[in-house]
Amino acid sequence: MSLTAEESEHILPADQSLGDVTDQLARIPLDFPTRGRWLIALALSSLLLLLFFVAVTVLFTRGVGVWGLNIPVNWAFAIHNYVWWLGIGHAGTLISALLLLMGREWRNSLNRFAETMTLFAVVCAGIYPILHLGRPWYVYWMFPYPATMQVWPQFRSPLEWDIWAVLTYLTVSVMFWYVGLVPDLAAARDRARPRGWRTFFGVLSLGWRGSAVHWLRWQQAYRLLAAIAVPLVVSVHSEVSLLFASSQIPGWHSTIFPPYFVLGAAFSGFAVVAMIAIAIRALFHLRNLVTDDHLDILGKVLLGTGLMTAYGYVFEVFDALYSGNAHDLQTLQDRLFGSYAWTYWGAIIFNFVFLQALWWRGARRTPWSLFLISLSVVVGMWLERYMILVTSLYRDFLISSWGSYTPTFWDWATYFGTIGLFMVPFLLVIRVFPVISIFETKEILHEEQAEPSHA
Amino acid sequence: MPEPRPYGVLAEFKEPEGLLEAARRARAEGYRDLDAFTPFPVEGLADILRLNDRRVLWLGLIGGCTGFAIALAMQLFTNFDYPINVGGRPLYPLSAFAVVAFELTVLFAAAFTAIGMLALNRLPRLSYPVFAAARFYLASKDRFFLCIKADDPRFDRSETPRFLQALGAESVELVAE
Amino acid sequence: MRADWTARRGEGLRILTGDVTSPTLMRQLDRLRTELPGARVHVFEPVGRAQRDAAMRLAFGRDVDAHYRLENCEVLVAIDDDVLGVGPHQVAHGRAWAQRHGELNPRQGRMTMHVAESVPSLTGAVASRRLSCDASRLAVLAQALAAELGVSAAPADVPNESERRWVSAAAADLRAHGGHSLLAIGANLPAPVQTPAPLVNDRLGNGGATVWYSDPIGLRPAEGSSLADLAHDIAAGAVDTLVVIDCNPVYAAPRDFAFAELLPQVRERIHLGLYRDETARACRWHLPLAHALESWSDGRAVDGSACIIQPLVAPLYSSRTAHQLLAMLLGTVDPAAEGPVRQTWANAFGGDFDARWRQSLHQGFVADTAAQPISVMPRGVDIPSSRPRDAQEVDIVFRPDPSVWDGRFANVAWLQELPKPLTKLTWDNAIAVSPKMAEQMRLANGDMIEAAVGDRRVSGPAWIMPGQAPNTVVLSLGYGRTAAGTIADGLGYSAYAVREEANPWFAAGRLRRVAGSQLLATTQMHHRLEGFDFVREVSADHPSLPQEAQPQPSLYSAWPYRGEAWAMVIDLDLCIGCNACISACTAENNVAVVGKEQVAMGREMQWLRVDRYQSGDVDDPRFYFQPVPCMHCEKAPCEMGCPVHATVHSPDGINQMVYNRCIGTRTCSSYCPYKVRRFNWFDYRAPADSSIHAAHNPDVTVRSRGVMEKCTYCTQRIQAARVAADKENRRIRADEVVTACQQACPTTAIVFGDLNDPESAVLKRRKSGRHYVLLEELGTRPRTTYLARWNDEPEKEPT
Repeated sequence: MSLTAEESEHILPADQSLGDVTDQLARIPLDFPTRGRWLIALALSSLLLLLFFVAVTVLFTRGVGVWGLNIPVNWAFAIHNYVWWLGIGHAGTLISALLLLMGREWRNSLNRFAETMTLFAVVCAGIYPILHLGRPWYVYWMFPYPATMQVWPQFRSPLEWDIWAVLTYLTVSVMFWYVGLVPDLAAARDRARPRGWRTFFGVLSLGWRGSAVHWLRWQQAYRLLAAIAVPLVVSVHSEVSLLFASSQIPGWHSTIFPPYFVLGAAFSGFAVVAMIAIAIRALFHLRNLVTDDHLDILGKVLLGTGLMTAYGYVFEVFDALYSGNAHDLQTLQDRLFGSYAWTYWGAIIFNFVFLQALWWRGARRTPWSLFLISLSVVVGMWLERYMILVTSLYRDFLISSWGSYTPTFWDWATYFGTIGLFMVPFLLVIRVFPVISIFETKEILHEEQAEPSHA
Repeated sequence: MPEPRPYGVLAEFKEPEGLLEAARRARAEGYRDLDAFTPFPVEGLADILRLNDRRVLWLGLIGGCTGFAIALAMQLFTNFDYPINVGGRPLYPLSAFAVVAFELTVLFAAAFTAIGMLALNRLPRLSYPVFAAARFYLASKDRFFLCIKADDPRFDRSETPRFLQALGAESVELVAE
Repeated sequence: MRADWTARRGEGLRILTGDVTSPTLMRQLDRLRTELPGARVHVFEPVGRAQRDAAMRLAFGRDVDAHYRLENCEVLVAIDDDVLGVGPHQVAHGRAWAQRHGELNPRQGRMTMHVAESVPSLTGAVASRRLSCDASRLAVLAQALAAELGVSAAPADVPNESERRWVSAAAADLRAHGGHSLLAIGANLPAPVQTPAPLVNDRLGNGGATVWYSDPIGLRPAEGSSLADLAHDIAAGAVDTLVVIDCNPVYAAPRDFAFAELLPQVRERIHLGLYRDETARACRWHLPLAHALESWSDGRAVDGSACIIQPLVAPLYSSRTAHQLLAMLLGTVDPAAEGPVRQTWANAFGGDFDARWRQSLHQGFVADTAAQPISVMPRGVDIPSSRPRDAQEVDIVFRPDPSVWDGRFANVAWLQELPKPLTKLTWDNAIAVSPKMAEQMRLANGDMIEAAVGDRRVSGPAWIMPGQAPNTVVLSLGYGRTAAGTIADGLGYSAYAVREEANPWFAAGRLRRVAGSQLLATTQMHHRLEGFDFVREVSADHPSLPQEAQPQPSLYSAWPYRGEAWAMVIDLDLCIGCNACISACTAENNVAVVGKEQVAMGREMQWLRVDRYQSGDVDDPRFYFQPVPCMHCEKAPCEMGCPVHATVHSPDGINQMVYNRCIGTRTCSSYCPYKVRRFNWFDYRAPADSSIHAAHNPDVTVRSRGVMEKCTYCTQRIQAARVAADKENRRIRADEVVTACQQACPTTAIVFGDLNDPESAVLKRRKSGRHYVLLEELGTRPRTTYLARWNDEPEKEPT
């Protein structure tokens, strides 16, 4: 990836003042521009959210048997979508934190909604392990508290690691998002006229006043959080991969899993970031801030992470062939030619074949083509996670226990429901909070204007 | 009615460069109790104002160590308190404890950093004298403010505004406590 | 009513019952016939032994029962005789066979088994040499074998190459082991076809050694007392009152006399039975019969020993035993349940009644009542040559269902959910076809086909049965019930619809495909071994497996087990796949029944499964059985996956499942390489007021929704033994703890005990050269391990 050529050029059009940007962005919550389209999106998302609540009610009333699970496939949609959602979430943190540390300032136009996406993706992910429990009302048993039976959680279990990892990730993501948001809340407070909005932003901005010493500490804290968040992302998805890699099940028991999962996560996440970027820039007319150059870079990142994920596919096959283990070879054969081969080849097509269009500059810079390719990646990664889960479990060691899995209506209902669970709060947040970081955009704008010679 | 005690004088600048220049001149003039209010962090300002506070970073480090210690202690203790054979694994498998130890290190480091930053900044504090300034709302938009506080020994109710005016400020305003 | 009968001296009174061995019932029926000479007793048993009885009469000129002594048998040649299969003899035969077969058992040595059969059976599955032979060819085979051994003329029909090879090998082996060999010919084959067996056994000197004869055990119906005779009399208007005792002719009668239409012609119809079944609904009166567990009764075991049946519980409902009913027919008003039985034995025991009665109840059988060998001489019988088969016709064979038998157990959910040994089907019967026929007709499992015999037809889902003879089609009895109860109604098809009185076990018929297909619920979806070594084999050339000097290395030091170290060793050479272990486990451990849809989804709950594999040629595969309970791995992958300590190890090495701690993450099951864990997907508990609770073992928790469960090595029995040992201040004795599966196993394939006890049977088995660990390469160190199976013909194995 050669971002250097891009980086030396200006990513934002120079003909806008700091004031214009402030007004343009801070006005979005105050004087919402696309009320109609937003309401339609909210209504549709609310329907999905309603579906989620119905599905969860049915699930809790009757038991996890309403899903298509069985022995051997006793983990499927819930865990698969958990991994998928969490993976999507990771891109937000990576864009925000990693690129901040690397000084890639083009991220300033993207980080706010990418982080917001992270938050709700993590919520969607985090709810799944609870839903999938046989007795979800006892989820608190996973925490160490002095129980009357004197039993503690079992810290050798990847699931136990998981709950700490996800909760840490959620908390750190919230803190990172909020710390970054405070100065913008102050800007919104100062623009807001109605008393309600003033109070709302006033309280949330904590009385931020942009003092030099505050900025100093803020910068230290923000960079430190970013420095913490990057290894956290890597650790969280590596840890998620250990849910599988810690077992001995062929197709799971592999050392390639942690990096393979992290890269896949970033890949799917960047795809969603690209989709949201394209949607938001169209919805709020922000072409001047989310420029074609941004799309171009996102396209390149997508291509890069996609190729790394493809490397994972190649290595997985190599791993099985090289080990020569009969069970691993069996699983490989099941993946390539078994009953669920469509998930394998689907993943290859959606994650690799369509992706190749991104070698062309035009495809990267055209919103609809980038959107479609990103959508294909999201679908592809969904299929990949399905493939990893189901094709490993449905035929493990003993032939006698080979089974099959078909998702039921309630599997699908819960899954589509989580899309509502993601969209509704996301839409509400972009309604009331600045969708793009105002002060960071001004910072980069100012820097670019200060050194016009590069252009 | 006695005149209220002043908080300081605010000077408005259009460009960060103007603010930096004014800050430099103010320090040269001997003013020490300075502050600035900007819409985004301005590079070099902290140096000029001689701000050098690294406590946030230290807090992060302390938080990380605390989290690590808590995680390790928690995992060791629970297995000490209720020792039981789990899959023939050792009672104290440090490799298995590494994940939670790492996560809690991160969690505490992040929490100490974020909360420590707010605490050191004495935030939240919703009301602050500068908010009363007429043009202060522009500090979060595109104006850069330098403030010489009344606590400064060289502060003078009439002299200091004049000094700031001379530095090319767009506006100068005396802010009450 | 009684006055009416007495007046007419019983004329017009008929009693219909199934097979009777109860001395009390026989005594009562005798008395009834004495008091009411006009009354007649008819016997109808859908899976009866009429053909065998006829064969014995042909061979010996009188009624005789044949008994096998498999423990003395070095060579067994069975023609369509499933000696180890379902039926009253299974347990006795299984135990005797295992006594002969097991290398650690007293009578060491192997039994060479030559089995020729049209339908794969449990006996065929463990045979040394199995010939798959169409049902219509079995007579030829029997005759050819008899001719080879010089007791009969050569058959008119010439055996083909593979038949001839099997016959000469079997004959050579039989002859070489004269006096220790046995020829068994299936009891369901036409009577003349069975007659070579006594002759051959007599000629080889096997009489008294591997087979002996006794007077018939139980009631031998007199001439003219079959169901057909009853039907004839009803049609003739000679029957005024019919008392049906626990028998279901409306459902199970052969269709050539339409019993269901005839029955309403009887004026007074009384049915005594456990269920208000098809016959009960056609009767005017249905009298609830007390269950055997609530009854005083008696009966005879297969060796003739009389057993007195005593009630386990007081009757749950207001019901009467058959003896009470007959006592009432004989004039006693409200007889006590115990009375008729005591009276029978009072006559037999004489003066010493109290002591002998108490002793018999204590022992469970009456001493010295076993049948005595009698000396009889068989004679030669001509075997009529069978009618040549029409090229369009197929051999239709009827078989009792391995789980629900002739249909009487159809409403027992435990049995419905018990996977049938060779197909692993549950909740259904299918029409089994051979792989060749399936290929010709382009059938897949579940496709609907129709079997027609004459103008009667029945349709059901196809099941492709590897090893079934090419032109043979199997219809299983016991399904297609319409009034069995909520569990069985509507399951499967009724094979009785095409069954004929004259030849109830065989018919020449036609098969055609009909539209549609049906979901079949199996517990094992894939049957081929695919070259994996889950079931290992030894042979004469390689009598022991390569033994690893060291177990798989582990990063973690071994956890010490200072007290007991429980372990189980399962001898695959002894397993006949009979399902006794699964049934015992289900009953012992309150395992839930989940129903057909759930089984089809892969959610059966049985803690123990018997894996069944096939390898080699689909037309003549080798079958394997492998019981798989929890392996109780010392390095259990499941335990390390559980986040809440719900599955942990006990100090005596049991992989424990703590139900009330389980939150249902199912990680343990995902991580289990053996997939032995079962999950409560829904609340499978019976409603609070259900009578099912009475069937539960009070020592075992009933699991609620959302928790995992699995084999516990019958931990409640271990605890009971520990309490007993503690009370007496001693250690638990070697082999004192017996698990439910072990207890039920007729062939002693399962052995359980303490590895730290040098006397224990498990330790002895673990030292065997045939010992191996399932999936040893995973390093899980299972406590449940296996002994390899013996392969008599390793050269037949594909490499």
